Amino acid sequence: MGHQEPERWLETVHGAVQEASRLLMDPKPEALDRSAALLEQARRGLRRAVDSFNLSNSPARAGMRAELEELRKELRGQSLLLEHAAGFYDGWTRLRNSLTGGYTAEGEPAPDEPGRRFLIEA
Amino acid sequence: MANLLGTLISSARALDVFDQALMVSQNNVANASTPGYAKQRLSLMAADFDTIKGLGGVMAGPVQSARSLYSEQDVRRQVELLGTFQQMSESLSAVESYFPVTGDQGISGALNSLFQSFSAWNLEPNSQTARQSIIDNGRRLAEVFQQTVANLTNASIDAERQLRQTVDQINQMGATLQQINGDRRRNSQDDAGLDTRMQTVLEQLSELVSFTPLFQADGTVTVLIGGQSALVVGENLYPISFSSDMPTDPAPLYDGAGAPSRLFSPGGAEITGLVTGGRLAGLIQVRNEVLPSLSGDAYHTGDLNELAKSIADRVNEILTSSLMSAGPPPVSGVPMFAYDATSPATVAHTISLDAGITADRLASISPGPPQVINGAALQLANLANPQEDADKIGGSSYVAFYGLMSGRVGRLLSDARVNQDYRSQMTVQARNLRSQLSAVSLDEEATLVISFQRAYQANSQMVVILNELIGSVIDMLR
Repeated sequence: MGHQEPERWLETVHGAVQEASRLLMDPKPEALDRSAALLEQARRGLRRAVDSFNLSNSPARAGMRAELEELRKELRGQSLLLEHAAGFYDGWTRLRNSLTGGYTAEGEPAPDEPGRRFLIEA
Repeated sequence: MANLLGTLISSARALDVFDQALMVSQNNVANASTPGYAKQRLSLMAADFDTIKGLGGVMAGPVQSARSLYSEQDVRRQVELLGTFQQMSESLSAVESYFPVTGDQGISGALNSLFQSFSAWNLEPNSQTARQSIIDNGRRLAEVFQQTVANLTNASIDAERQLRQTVDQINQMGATLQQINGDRRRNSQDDAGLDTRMQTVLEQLSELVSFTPLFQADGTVTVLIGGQSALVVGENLYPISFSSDMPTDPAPLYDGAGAPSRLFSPGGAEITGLVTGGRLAGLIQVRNEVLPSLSGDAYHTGDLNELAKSIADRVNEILTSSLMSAGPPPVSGVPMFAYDATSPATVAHTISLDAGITADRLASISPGPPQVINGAALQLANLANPQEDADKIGGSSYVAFYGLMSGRVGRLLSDARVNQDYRSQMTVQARNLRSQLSAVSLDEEATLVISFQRAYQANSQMVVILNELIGSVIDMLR
């Protein structure tokens, strides 16, 4: 395999990660589903890139260093976006559960009970 | 007849309620693009129904805001972190440019040139050209040290100016919140405009400083800087202040060097440590930690001063322990560098060529025994790649020590830029999450307007029919 191969795979990974990041900026359920599919695509692409990378000659590896560093930053950014979105929804759920079900003996918000209905009167 | 009149009153009241609901919806649509606006809903309540008296119908409840304080807090947190990294990125960009590591620029270039001169002198200890080159490059190194410190001092002054401006902006925003608090107390707490203004100012404030907002039952907000020091309580403003005067506690360690910038509450309590986020925190970190770690202040010697002192002391030590002339009588060498030794935090600022040094007075002979004609020159040439601990600073060569210093600045800037990118994305995400909860949806409003219009029309029709019925009854009674 020529040294173009890992670069081509990395481009695919790069594109998938960027699109997933764009979707995660507005993390609605459908965007999360689509992001998960894109990340899976990126994972497959990265695996192929690693295989090609191991077979390629050293000048190609050196040329890819900057691109890999850029990819690492993008993945870190995406990870932060996911953590933030997850933290937001988790906090929101805990807040809702504490408002509707109070707190457990351990001081944690009451566990979520599917189907529970509640009325808040001000 | 009483029933008919009651139904008429009930229907008329319903028309009024629907009218109010439509006004609320219309206001939502009008503010669909207003930054910080949260949609509102008129809550509807069923009136007591009595089949005998014929009353009942719908009543208008309070106007409720869809604003989520939880998502507002999340946005403020992201904006606060973005502000810190933005400020650090801006401030450190200038600082990094003062530490070039390639070419013949800056301290690195001057140091390499001096070491090359020492090597050339080692090969030709009696060469006047080699000796003059040492004098020229030594002078250049001293000047570059002074210039770098002057640049860092200017960066420090600029950070101080920005700190002052930021403190003024914070106090101005505090005054705006104070005014909004007054308006909310005197007017309706349901005023969507005031609510939007309050949240917008709080979001702007979070870019500047870390604070905790406490929303009170009377609609006002209390703002505590760092969660502790009051900026605004109801209609009272407690402006913070800024000082770069030398503190007495703890007592300064080094004379002649600058003082850190500090923030104070109106009562005089220092609150610098409470500021952990926003642009103010970024400025304080650069002004009180990053810059002093390089150029020193009343509490830090500064790496540049340590480097300048170490180089000057070692070069002087080698030259003064050597001989200019083997004699008889032998003539001892003179120091090459001079600096103000009264404060270790000002060495780089005061370093210069010693007044007594000239090309002729450079001492190249090590006294031995046996005397070596280029012994001192060889020792100086070895400073570039030192083997002895005496030729190192903190276990590193002078060049490597400088590399670590400039690398630290570069890393701080790089981290700030990367984090600025991340936080910028997360701020957009937090705002989108907030919009999901509280922004006006034009589709939703359109559906609502249609449903209220239908209810309005149905009620209008009822009023017409009831009017006719009542008219007929009155006619029959005549």
